Amino acid sequence: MNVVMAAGLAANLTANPFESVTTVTVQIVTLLIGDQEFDSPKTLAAFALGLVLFVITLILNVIALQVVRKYKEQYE
Amino acid sequence: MDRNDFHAIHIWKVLMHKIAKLALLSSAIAVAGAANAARDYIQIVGSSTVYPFATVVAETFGKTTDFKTPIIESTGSGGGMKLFCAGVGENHPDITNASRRIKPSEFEKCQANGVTDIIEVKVGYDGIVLGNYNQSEQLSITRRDLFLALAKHVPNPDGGESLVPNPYMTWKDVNVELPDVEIEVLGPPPTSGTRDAFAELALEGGCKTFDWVKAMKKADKNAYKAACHSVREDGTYIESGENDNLIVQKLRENPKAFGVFGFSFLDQNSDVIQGSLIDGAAPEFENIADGSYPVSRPLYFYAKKAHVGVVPGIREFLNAFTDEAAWGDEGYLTDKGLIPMPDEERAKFGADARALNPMAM
Amino acid sequence: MSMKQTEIIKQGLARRYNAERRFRIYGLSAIICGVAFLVFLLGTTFVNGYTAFLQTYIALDITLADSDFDGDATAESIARADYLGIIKRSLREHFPEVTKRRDKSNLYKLVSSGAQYDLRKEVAENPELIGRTTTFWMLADDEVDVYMKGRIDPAVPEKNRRLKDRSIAWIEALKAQDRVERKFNILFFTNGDSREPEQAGILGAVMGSLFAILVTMLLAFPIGVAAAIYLQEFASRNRFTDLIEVNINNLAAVPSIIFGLLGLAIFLNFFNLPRSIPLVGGMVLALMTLPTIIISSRAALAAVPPSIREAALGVGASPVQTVLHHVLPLAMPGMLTGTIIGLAQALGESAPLLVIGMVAFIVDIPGSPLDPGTALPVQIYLWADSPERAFVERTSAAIMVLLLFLVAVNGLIVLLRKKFERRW
Repeated sequence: MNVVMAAGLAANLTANPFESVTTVTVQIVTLLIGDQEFDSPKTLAAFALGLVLFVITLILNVIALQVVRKYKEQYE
Repeated sequence: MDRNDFHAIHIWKVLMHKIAKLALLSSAIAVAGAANAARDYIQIVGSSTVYPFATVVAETFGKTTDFKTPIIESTGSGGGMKLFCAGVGENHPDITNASRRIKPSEFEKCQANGVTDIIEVKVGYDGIVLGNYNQSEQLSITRRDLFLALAKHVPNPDGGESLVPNPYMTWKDVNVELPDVEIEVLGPPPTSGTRDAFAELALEGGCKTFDWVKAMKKADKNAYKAACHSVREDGTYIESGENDNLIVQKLRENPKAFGVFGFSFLDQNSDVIQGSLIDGAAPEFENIADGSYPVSRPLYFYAKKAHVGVVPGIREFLNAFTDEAAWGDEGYLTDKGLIPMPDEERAKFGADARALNPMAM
Repeated sequence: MSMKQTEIIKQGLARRYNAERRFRIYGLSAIICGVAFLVFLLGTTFVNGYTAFLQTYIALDITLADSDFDGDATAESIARADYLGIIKRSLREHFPEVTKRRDKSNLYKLVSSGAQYDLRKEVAENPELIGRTTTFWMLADDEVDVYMKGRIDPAVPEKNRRLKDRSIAWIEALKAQDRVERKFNILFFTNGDSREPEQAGILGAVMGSLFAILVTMLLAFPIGVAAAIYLQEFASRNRFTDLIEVNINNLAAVPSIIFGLLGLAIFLNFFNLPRSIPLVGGMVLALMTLPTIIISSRAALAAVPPSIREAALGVGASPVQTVLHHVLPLAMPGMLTGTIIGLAQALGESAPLLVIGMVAFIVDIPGSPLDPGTALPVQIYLWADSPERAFVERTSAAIMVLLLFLVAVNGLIVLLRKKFERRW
């Protein structure tokens, strides 16, 4: 949420960290604060972005869980 | 386990019982409340351009009458219309603000969903400004050049009567007299009434100057609209949400960029941003009022007649908004940057609003 | 050991000591960096915001003529009198040299538009003031306030300024007569949102936040604790429970806006609950806090040594009695701290609330979780977007209030943890 105010809105595809880019959260907020109709492409796009974000975090968490399981020490 | 643990267990049991009772009670209240609550406040949605004016009227209304202060959400003209036309009832907003007139398709949709009697009230005029940071160079541009800079397809620069994807990357490419700066414009998204009005007044105004494009209007209306209203999507025009204030802040951070927003925002931020001259006219109060500044449009709000009497205060709110003290030449809305309508128009719309006359498309 | 071996060991030792010293320096510089950012953040917030706790008032000699009240001081005539006109008259009497329409309009703008309502309240409470000339302290307009706090630079050319030179001259004249004073800004704490910065306050947002947190607490705590007990004590360890654990861990890390989307889809669209009410906000925040509470409660339950459980079973308690009467009370401190951490997080969230509509302009203070309201972080977000200069300091002041509250809550966590911690 913090990035809404700090990050930009330019939808650029670049690997240069100095270029103005945007983030998923900013796009969701921008899409949803305006239009509220439920089956418009914009709202659905916001939900799709949310789903992508969710899946990415899920994959990261699964990897983390595997790593933890592998190295966990069992006491008692 | 010692005595402290028994004590802890006891406290725990008592606490859980209390919480359970409280939870049950509040959920009962919530369900009953949500089911029975008759909404006693006016709910307004719509344009972010009309938002500053509607909020002032709402606040004054709340302070001077016994009615609750209306709740106003800035959703954009398009979003507001969709919510408004979704139906009649407490779950739907009472009033929607719009920075452009209701479209025939939206009107049809309203009728189809039972929103049959709509009261249309024009509240004043607003200019659309192409602004930039006031420490940067002020731009003077014609509508034709604006069209060439921002449209998705432009007439082929090599001549001939065809449309090609927009190749211009700097203002100088469009017209050698303009500065050699990359084109970067922050503007409203397609749901915004400001965007619709900008496309219709500035872009279409510019593309009409090409005679063969103008001729297309009679031949193929859809192609004409597509040519004149489409904005480029290659990153030079950046959609910045409904929030005009955010655009103003980003202009301060990026002195080379331009922004498209309503005159009231220029007025309220005149110490940070300046407006560009379009077709030679500066975006000033007098120029917009007398029409010499070409990019100006009327602001409206629409109310549901069916909600009058059901939700308390709608009639009184309409009276407050159409009062001379609010929207007149000396009214408090002009302090916020609204350009008032001429006297005859005010009289007409005021009378219609007070009589709750439904509009006809 | 030979001399050479001792040499080698000594060298290695020196290297090791150097490495350890470097490591300590890295750690220290990391901490210093973090603290520097924190000091910078708090410092700029404080510098921007402390002036918001003072508000400029202007003393005006107001004459309440009998003719203003239709000759008779009844409750009705007091309610309907034109106080704005009375204030304007007083300003004109004070600066009789101002005659042009434009100048007069700028003169009237020195006083806040809300001052007339304050005057009405004063007269209603003290009707004996009618027929006399009294000095009242009127709320000044936000531009005057910003100038008095030194944030407007008179050297900037006039067209780039909101406050014009003539207005500045009038303010200086009033100041010379000791008619301008800065008092404690009580309105900041008693008013709801407003379009006029001098009348804007955080009470509406604070009440909205409190109601939302109340709803969150009532929903998330029982459900979270119950889920944690079941998952930790009673559920069997199979792939299904593994999947649940992964999902709960994932949800604790997912950006909060996803919960806003969920709230939008289910609470607003499916159940048709009204928009902008703290109840829906609280429900969304409860969904968000639930994973945090479950995870911390499970950790608290796992920390209770198995010997307690075995002892309970040994004296004849059933599995349910073991958990509820023996394990749970001992795990309670950890659960409470986890809950409070989750609540502190929920208090600072704004993204999910934006999506469910608690981002409207709401002036009235909510009286129950079912009245429309906004939350403090959302209020800060809204004010940060307003063009008036005076909102900048109010935004910082609201941030200070929020930070103070969060620090208090976190202090409470530390205190509780220290008090109830058990060492096995």
